[in-house]
Amino acid sequence: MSNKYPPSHVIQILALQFIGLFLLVIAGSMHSPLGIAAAFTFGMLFILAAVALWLVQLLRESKEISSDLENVLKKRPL
Amino acid sequence: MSILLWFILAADLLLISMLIFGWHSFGRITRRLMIGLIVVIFPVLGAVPANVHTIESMKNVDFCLRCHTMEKHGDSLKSEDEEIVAAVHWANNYVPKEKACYTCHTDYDLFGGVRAKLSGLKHLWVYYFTTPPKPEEIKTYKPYDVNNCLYCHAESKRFRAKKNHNKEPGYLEKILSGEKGCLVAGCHDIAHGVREAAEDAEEPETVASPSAEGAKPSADE
Repeated sequence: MSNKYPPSHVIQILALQFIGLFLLVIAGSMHSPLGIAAAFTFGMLFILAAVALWLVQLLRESKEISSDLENVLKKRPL
Repeated sequence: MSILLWFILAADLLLISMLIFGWHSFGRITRRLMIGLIVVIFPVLGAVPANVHTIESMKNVDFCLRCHTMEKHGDSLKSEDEEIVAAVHWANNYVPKEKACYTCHTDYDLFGGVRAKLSGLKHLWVYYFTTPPKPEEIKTYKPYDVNNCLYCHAESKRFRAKKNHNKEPGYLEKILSGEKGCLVAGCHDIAHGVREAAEDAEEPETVASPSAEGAKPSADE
């Protein structure tokens, strides 16, 4: 199961990105100015949230990799 | 534009589905590349045209008239009254008809469009979250900037030659320097005629409007 589907944080990032993009696309075809403003603002916020989560995830993974590497080097010094 | 945006959204959904349902069949690098594509490239591909499309659509007269308070101002564009500045501009194609409001109510400088959008947000707040003013009570946030008139008229030969713009020596220079406004009493002071119409309606007797007196130049001038 864990290998078949992406981990939950990836699903969250993808979902946030898709909802954000969807809101931006429908903003232009809305009639109410309030609807346009809301769709536009939330669309941008969702997309920015997705990007921020992705960057945090990348940072976390790179830290994990560097600590793994450190452990390996401690056990087997060059 | 709209079709392009839906196409981008559909492509985005396809890629997300491929990533989710084919997660086990992609390598680590491919997964990362796909997530990067979805999170960075698609929002840029989608958000840029979507923002341009939405912001462009906000320049249209029909967008401004979606707030019912503005209906009378919209009607004033089609008025036959030649003293109404907005009607004269509309009727003679002095402004693009589909963007008439935006053309006159946006400052012609680097951040004019940005300030117009901020004002629009203020309108939104007033319209939806407070009691909107009556059409005849609507005013611009600051006195109308004469440079918006002069942006088009200043270099016009017809404008410079008008008798009323040269009624005393140096008068034209005062207009061009902004010292003398266009929308001042006795000149082109009926912008939309909404307030004047409401005042006339309040006084049903046949009292002539002071603005219609002989001293006033015709809209043609």
